[in-house]
Amino acid sequence: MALIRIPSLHVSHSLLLLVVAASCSGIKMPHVPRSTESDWPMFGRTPHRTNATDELVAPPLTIAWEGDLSSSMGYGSPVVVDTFVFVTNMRGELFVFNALTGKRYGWISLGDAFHGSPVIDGAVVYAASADARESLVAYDLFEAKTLWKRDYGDIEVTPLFFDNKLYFGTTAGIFYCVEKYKGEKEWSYRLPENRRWKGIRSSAALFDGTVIFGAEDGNVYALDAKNGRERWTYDTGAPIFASPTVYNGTVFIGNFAGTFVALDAQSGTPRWRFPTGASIYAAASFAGNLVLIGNTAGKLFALSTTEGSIRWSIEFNSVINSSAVVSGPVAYVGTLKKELIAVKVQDGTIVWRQTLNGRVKTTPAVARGRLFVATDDRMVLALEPMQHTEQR
Amino acid sequence: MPCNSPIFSLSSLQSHTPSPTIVSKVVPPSIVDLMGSAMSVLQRGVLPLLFVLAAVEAHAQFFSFGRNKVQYTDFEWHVLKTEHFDIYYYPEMQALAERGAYFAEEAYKDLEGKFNHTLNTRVPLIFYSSHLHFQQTNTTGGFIPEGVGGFFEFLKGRVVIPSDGSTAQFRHVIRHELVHVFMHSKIARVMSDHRKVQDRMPPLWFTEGLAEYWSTEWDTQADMVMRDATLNDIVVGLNDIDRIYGSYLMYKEGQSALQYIAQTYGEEKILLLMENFWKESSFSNVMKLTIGKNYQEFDEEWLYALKKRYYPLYAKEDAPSRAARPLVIDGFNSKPVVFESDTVRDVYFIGNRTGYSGIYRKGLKPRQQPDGSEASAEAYARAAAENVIEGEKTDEFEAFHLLRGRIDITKDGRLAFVTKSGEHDALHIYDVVNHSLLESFHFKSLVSIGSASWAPDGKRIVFSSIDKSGNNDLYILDTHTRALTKLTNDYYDDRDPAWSPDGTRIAFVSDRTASGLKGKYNLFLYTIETSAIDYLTYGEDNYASPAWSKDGTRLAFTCDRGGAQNVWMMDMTVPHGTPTRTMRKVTHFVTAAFDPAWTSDGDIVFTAFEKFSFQLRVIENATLIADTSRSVVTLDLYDREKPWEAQSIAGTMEIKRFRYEGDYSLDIAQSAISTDPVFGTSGGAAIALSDLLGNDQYYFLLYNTAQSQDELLSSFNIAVSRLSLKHRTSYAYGIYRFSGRRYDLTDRDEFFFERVFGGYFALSYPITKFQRIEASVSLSNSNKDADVRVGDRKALFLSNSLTFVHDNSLWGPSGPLDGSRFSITVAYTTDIQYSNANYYSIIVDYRDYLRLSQRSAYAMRYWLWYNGGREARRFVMGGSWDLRGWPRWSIRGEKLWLTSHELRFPFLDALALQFPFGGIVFSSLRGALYFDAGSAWDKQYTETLGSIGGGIRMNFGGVLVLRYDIGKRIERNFTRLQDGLFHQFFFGWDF
Repeated sequence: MALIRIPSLHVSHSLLLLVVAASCSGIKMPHVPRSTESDWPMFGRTPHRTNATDELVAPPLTIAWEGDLSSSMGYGSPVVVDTFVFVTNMRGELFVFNALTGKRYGWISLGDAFHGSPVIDGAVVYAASADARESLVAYDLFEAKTLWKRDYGDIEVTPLFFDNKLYFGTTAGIFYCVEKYKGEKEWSYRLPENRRWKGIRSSAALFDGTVIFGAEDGNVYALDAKNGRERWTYDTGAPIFASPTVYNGTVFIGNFAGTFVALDAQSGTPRWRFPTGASIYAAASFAGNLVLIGNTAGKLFALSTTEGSIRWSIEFNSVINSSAVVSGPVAYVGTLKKELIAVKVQDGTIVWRQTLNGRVKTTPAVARGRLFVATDDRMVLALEPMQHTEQR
Repeated sequence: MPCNSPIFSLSSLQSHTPSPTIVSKVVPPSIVDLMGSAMSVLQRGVLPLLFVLAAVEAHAQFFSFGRNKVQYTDFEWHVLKTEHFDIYYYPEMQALAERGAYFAEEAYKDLEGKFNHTLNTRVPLIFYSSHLHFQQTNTTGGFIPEGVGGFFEFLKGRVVIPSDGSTAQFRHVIRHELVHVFMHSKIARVMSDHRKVQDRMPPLWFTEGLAEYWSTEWDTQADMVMRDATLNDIVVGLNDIDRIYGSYLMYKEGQSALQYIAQTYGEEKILLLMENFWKESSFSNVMKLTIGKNYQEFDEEWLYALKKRYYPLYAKEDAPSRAARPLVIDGFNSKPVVFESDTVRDVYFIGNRTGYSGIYRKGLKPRQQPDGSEASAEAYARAAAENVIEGEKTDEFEAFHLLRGRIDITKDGRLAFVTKSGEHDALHIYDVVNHSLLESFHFKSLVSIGSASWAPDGKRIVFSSIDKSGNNDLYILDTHTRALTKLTNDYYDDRDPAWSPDGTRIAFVSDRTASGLKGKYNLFLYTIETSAIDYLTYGEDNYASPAWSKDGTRLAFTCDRGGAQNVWMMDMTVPHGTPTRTMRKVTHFVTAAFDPAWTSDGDIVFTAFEKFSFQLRVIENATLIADTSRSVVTLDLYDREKPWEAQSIAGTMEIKRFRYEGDYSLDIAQSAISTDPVFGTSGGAAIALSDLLGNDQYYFLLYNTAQSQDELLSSFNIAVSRLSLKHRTSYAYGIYRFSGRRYDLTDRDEFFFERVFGGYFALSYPITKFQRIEASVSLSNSNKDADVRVGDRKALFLSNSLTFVHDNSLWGPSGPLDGSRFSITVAYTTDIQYSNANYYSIIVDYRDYLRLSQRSAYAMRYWLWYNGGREARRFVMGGSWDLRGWPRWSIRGEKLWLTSHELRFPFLDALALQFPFGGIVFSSLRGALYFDAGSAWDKQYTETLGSIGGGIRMNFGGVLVLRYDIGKRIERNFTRLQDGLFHQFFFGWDF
């Protein structure tokens, strides 16, 4: 039974609850997801959050299928493992679709609001929620049961999954390492001298046993993944909402003031800084020796990863809120003007642009020959190359 | 029973057809009485009728009065389409509209980054080139006070903004309103993203505070308000912010609080307050989640920070009350000018002490008080000033511009001042010696007029004025020849001219500098002979109100250098062309000084801002103070940048222009079901739609009152009405078909079944803001079954009415306190087919309000209602709104008279109840002592009835007045008082 969409009706809470309760929740998957090369298995695709794949989904694209999410997706991205697309929404629900056909395997309510992406570990999904009493949940998709729930405060990031542990920060400014079996805390790190209620809204990236994340206090923190000891910190000068990315031993991260910095991943020593001129909310993406970063002024910059010099830039005349995703020689970027745009990584030439029905504020994912993107009209779309459609 | 007689407006609850009587843009006191009507109508099962009546009908007791929102100007609307906006403008202001379009797109670009959000729909921006044009807008029903700089109306998503001549201010208001648009959309998006009901918005302090915070810098005016509030302990925390709800102080406190949050906790917290809005229903809790502090905890920190910031100012600066002699303290006082002759030394000024603004006079006492004491000066300052010219009661002096235009006076006592007068502002000359208005100048090409200043010859006046293009320029009027000469002609905002005593130069204020677009104003000198404009000051400070000393050697003015706006002085004997000028600080006030005016002995009278009031005070020996001042600034007038240049949307993006043809959208669509023990269940729907400018409104009504299946088809009620407000004469017309069982209140509580169909046409012509003529004609076919009085009856009624209405009343918290209201209606209704009915009506209603003090009044009401002829309709009376103490609508007759006398006075200003879980404050409790007398009769006068008693009224949120009366009826033809007491509790404004 389809969940009824109520676009913008003013209905009472009770009526809404009734409608939701009347819908059938639950997920029935045909088999346990098995990882493949073509997956987009996590937010940023790798623990380095590089937002890049060699798999080419060549523009122009056309919509292969659309899935109704009932609420908007947060700032993460769809996750694709095997033939399954996992999407969480800001109403605390997890949806699973068939990546190829769009068939919905079901949905389940796991929390209050998922701002990030789910973490998939075989048949188990881990999801972090904002504004819930038990903000971290482990759910067995195949057994259809909740394994555990824990209260770690409001979480508005995607947890980093590494070595059977989950790493994440909270809006209260505490960074946690949690083991995956029972959700018990391994260690925690509190932002130092946090008198101004600075939180962590930057999803962590991994580099050589070090978890790296930004914080609202403007600092980039690098902690030993084993014990949470501080390895280095770097003050960017403005709050950080974006996730760091790690590429070739360098950490890249942008801040609220629009400054994009490259830091040595081992020491935190700055390699270069680049002022983009407007706030950066999303992580960078990589193609060869180029790093792509967008800002709220609608500019997408391609910078040299080694020097930070501009190779090209484009202005899209609308806010860029999500990461560009690199698919071979092409990068896709979404804007709040509801556009999905494909540019040549080499020179920034726009090769395709399509207006969608909703704003694009989530990072797309590329897998299985398709591009998956959520829009704020509560839909997730799978787009495939037009050529592919014609051949089929 | 006729169905559409003109007396519908007097007892509309009994009518079954839309009344044709009132179609003017009458601004009602509130919607309370409409709600009262709604409830009454609901009881009779004709709820849907309300929607039609709401548009064209006004309730008898209140809505037949009201001032007029006059559509003086026939605007020729055009549309300019940019990337994100549809801009509505008229051709005369095209250049201004294109500048506004540029600012709107500029703001959009910035705000989408700040909000991290984009708008899904295009934004309609309706521009007016002056505030006087803005006051005519039909996008909102109410009057727009002079202090309103623009608004965002979320039903249609419209933004309506006037220009006041200042491009910087125009830009600021556009940004301010667009912040509202973005916030509205952002909050809706946040709630929708989380699938939450969009049933709330952030509190007003946040929405308005953010609109200010993200649209302008923290300027002198904002600082002045917060300094004054903090130093005088007027400032309230967010926990108690409702105490100053909607006030300018609340706007500035909101801006200050958000600035504090941004500076202390981080700018990103502003955005997070919106992003976290879905998490909690209480904004205090949202604050707690976002910055770790709720209202109470935040207040402790923020209020302390304000004190820490402002208290040290007292070390070097003073409150005006500590450093300047008071002249006028109570009420609002501004724009003083000094008149001195052999016999008198008077200060004339614009003031508002009663609710009506006007020109006041106060004698300028000698420097030394008789006993030399401060108490004596204070007592003199608190003594009443004489009201020389009373405004807001006549069309000629419709409104004074309290903060905009300075006044000036000649040596022989001819006072030049400006008021709104009909469509435009008018410049008036008033002889203060002989107390007579000498002349009024109206200029067709000029819309609003600012400050005026006499030439020393006493013939010419220089003034600033905004024309239809929206530009504010300087003009000279020769009062003898009536010739008008334009001195400046550009988009720079030129204001506050002051003619030098030797007649050769005019000092004025303008934004024609490099920083003008940032809202900075400097002083300039216009030389009459050469038309050359020279800088008097140059810099990033704000200058205003130049005033020449009587001998012309010095110029006093205000400047905000150093933080607060104070009086400064400049030596004007310095040779022309000097590359530098020196100015000296005269006052060192912590709040602000405005409008300096010289006396002949070197004192300066000025407006002081303190304790959120505007007072007149005197600086003695101002020249001596200036000469010895240690605050001396030398200005370099030669090393300066070019003045700012206007930017326009043209050339920056693809735009389209076309004539506005009407853009209609739904205002309301509502269905209703009502159940009545007598009439059963009725159901229906009403739809209202209007065009984007609100000029054309359509109302559709459909409902059914069938009580059984076979009545279904015959019980459909349909009405279609159109109301046009585009022109000065507004009109309405419509057709209707009503059918169903009726309860005839005016007769003997009988029931009957009636089918009626017909049409009507009505128009209203506002003569002035205070007077109008209404006329109507209607034709209706009525078929009535089982009328006890006349049996089955068919009729084809033709009704005509003509009404004159006057209203210049001034309202207090529970009803009028000053002015008067009068209406007279003559009407004739005849059955042109069957001659079953044929009668005439004369209705007279007069109310006068005698002001006894600031907040008390003696109110009088006189009614004479007369219907005569065959099947003449009966009136009803009795109840809280007319003859108190008598059962509601229990007194009935074809003729009626009533008189009411009521003493209105303040009872309690506030009643606070504090519970363990929170508190509530009831404010504005008013008391009344009253006496009513009246009667209603058909053929023969029966008896006179009355009542006497007292009561209290409580204004509830500004929209509802609850009334409790206690008293005794006067019975048996005024021969005895009722045993015991009657009690009545009801709602509605006092008459």
